[in-house]
Amino acid sequence: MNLRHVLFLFTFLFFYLAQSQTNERFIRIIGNAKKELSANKAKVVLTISEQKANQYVSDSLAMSFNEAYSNAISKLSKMGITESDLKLSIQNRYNNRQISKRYSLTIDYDKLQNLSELQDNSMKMFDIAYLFELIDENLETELSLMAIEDAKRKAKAICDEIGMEVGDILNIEVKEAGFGTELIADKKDTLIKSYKVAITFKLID
Amino acid sequence: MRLFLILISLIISTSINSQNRIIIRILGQSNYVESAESNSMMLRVKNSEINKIHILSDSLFALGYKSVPEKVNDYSSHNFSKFRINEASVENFDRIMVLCNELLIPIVSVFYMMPEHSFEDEDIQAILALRNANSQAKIIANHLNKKVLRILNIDDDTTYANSFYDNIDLDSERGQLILKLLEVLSRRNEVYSKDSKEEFRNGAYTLWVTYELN
Repeated sequence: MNLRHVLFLFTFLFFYLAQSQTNERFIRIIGNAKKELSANKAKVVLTISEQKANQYVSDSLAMSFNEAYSNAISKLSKMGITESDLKLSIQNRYNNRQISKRYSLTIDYDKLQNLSELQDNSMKMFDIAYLFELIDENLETELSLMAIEDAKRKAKAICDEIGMEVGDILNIEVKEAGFGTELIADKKDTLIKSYKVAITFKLID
Repeated sequence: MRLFLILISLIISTSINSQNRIIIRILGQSNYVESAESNSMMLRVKNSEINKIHILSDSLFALGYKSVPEKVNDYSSHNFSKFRINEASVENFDRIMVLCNELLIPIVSVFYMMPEHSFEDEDIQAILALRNANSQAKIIANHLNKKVLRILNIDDDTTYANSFYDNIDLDSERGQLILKLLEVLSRRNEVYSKDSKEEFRNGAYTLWVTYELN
């Protein structure tokens, strides 16, 4: 084969590829899957405040901030929460002339009810953010398989409509996952985790 | 020499063929409306007045309503409890609101429950979007005195099909920031959320379809 033949061959291939590119036959479908997840943990912000005696409330007792704090630590320790688990987040010493501090701590979701029951006038839950750990490999596998099945079903439905057939898979592209070490915080204690995959199939007449 | 002639004829035929062919890409769209399947209300009562909820439950049972107040996790207050009531019938829902009012049970919020989002239902929307694209293709083909020869490809990935993206340089820093923001917002899965402040939810399914005209 001389140089002239090689040149002709390349010219032919160029035109052939240019032609076939515009004739690409495929159907790319987005497959979806979702699953409702429950929170694993919760980040709670506690407010610990000093108490001043109220002349209008019969059982009102004065309690310094240090007393309120010791009282709170004592109660929390019964749940296995130590002082080192509390992280000071915002100081607001002079709110209504009352010393009050906010502490955040992360606890297991199933301990929230117990923590809620420990609340009193000196220790209150100020805010709760529910935490979702998405490290479950089984969940990712389950959702990805569901999404692939969804794409296959939808591709078949569309091809049936136009009298064509779904061919082999040419390409799979994960569009949305968010698994791994990700930790999601939300105000609701349930979260819908979605999975999205784009699958390209051959389109057959 | 023969090879040369074959190649020349192939190139000429390919050029003539491609001159006659027109490729059009159309965004087919199917709009739909999801209606609420139920009405919901959130009640908040003092723990010392929890018997009001028991009375309400008994009243609903006596009226033959299937809806019951269900306790909702609310850890933020140790003095109050939250309850939720779902009722599909608007008339019954209205009656329950009157009952709550009579029992002095505060209604914190009223909202709607949307049906569970079904991916199987999207198949129908996808087919409708395809039909919409087909009719658009026929209109264009007729206008050009051509015929729709065949569908070359179908693309369900219409992420950037919205004209909203036309004015954004997606490669720029600002564009990337907008994409990041949209990604964060999409994690909230509003489409899949069952609770809604609106009685109806509008949606659209889009599909790119590429046709060959001849």
